[in-house]
Amino acid sequence: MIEILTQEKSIYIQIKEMIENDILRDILLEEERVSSTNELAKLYAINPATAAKGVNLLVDEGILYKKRGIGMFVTTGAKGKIMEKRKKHFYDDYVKSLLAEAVSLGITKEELIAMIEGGED
Amino acid sequence: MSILTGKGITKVYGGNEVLHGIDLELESGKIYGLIGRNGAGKTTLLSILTSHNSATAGTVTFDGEPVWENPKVLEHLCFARELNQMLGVSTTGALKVKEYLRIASVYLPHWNQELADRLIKEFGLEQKKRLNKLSKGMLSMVTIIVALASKAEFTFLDEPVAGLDVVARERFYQLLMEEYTQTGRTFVISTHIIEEAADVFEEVIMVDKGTVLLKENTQDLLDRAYHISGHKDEVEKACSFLETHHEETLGRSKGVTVLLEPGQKLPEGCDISIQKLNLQKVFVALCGEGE
Amino acid sequence: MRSGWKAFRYWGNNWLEFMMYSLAAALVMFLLESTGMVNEGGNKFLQEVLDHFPYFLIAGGAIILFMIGISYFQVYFSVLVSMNCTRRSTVLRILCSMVSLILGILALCGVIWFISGSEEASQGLIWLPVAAGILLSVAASSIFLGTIMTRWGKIGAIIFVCICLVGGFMLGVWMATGEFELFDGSFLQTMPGNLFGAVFVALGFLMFVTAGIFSAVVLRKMEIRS
Repeated sequence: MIEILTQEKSIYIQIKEMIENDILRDILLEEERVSSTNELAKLYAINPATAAKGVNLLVDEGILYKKRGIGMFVTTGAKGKIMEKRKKHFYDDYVKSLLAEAVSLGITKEELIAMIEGGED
Repeated sequence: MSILTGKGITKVYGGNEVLHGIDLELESGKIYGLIGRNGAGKTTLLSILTSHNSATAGTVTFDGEPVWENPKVLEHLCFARELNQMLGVSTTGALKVKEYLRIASVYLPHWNQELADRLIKEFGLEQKKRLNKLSKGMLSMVTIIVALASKAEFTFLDEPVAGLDVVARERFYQLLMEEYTQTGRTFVISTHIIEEAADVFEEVIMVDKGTVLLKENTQDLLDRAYHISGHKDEVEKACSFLETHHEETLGRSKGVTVLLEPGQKLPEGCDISIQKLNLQKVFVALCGEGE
Repeated sequence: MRSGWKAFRYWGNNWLEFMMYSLAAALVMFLLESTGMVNEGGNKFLQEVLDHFPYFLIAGGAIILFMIGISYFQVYFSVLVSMNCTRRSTVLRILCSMVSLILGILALCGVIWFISGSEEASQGLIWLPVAAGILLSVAASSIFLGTIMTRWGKIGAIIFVCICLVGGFMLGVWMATGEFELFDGSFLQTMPGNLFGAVFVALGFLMFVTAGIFSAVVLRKMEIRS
């Protein structure tokens, strides 16, 4: 969880993705408690409202759930949900810009496929 | 929840109007960032909000009660001003740190001496020194101690990190967040060093040439600000209905900062680069030269 | 007042400090003046000391009073207001502090003269109200000066002093040339001692109150500049 916040993305998005990454890496297990927004705020010196925005997005997506008075917990099956979500967005997040860049460089589809097949190092 | 309201705050200094009818509402429980260039009117505004200075026109009220010279309201406020290194030896500068803090402990009703002592120790503040003999960094620390230990409901800080090195500045933000998460006190902090502090501000208030340009949730503002660049023609086509700022041209290329209004979307299908901006860049785009 | 006990302790500390300064000033002046008395020796010497020291105490007190009056405004006014005291209450605190100092000095003089019990001492006791008047007017002038310096800076203060000097000079000349019968000295001599003292106190008090009102009005909207 101790990554550094960058300037390229909104802070709350980064918080969200950090928690997701921790879930994927088994740093946070299902049904385990996630740091509270206050704890996140203190750790990263950010405003708790900002941390809350990121956490709430995860609640909306069903990855975290709130236990009143206790805190935020990772839902069962969260890991699977995250992987599925990221697979779905894989095209938008990575492939789209790859294709656009290839077009502007004049790289053909065949050349691209050759690159992918050859790049198993 | 309490609200500090400023209506039509105008300040004139010898023929010069430095604040032009500012309307402002500050809710309790938030950390506000007050950013603006030198001379934009930040300190004057903070002074007027806290009865350190009187407005030429306009009112400042706290839950409906006037703030000016009102002890009942002042109990809830604390303005830790920036102590200037130019304090004279025959004025405030003559006071020793110990005495200055002693006065604070006597007259600030919620003063927490334990916190003050802890911070004095951590900062290594020499209490026997006179204020006018302190370094810029130490003066900032005195201001910070007064602000944090005051435990006031609404605490105002004017350039609290001026003179602090980067390690001390990071420590300040940490202390601030510790105090905020523990007590939920309202903080209004003016600063030049925008990017560092941007993360702790829930709302940002941008002041330029005596007016409030915007007051908005920081994340919301950053969500709607983008830098668009590319070929001049493409950029102009893409931004035809958008609010643009800070146009920069170099040859055939053009870069511009856009702020999306609610409901507006980023231009699609144009051959342009779209990048996100940080608060500092948005600030420079809105308040920089040539705007 | 709002901050109660804590504020009382704080100003009480200040009061003690300033009484010490006054005593010290008085002592210095006294020692300089009375080196000749050592020869008298013994009880008589002590008597002389007790009889004369209070005058020096009043003189020393007046000097210190003047200095702290100005320093209260120059140093403390803006700090107190920046710590959420209202301007009105700050002026009031300063006034009260000065009054308590005056009372302290007068009380000390009274005690010393009372201990002495001599003829000269009783004269001194009767003279106390005059001392009170003098101290009050010294305080008043420092309040005027301190206030002017706070609002209009050193230049304002210099202008004020000049005006006073010129005004006083002109008044003196006017009286001397007999044009203006404001003060017929003879009427003072026919006044019984007590009334004489009372007049002094009243005048001093009047000056003091006027200075206080002047200060409160002039500093009503005073800005805090650090």
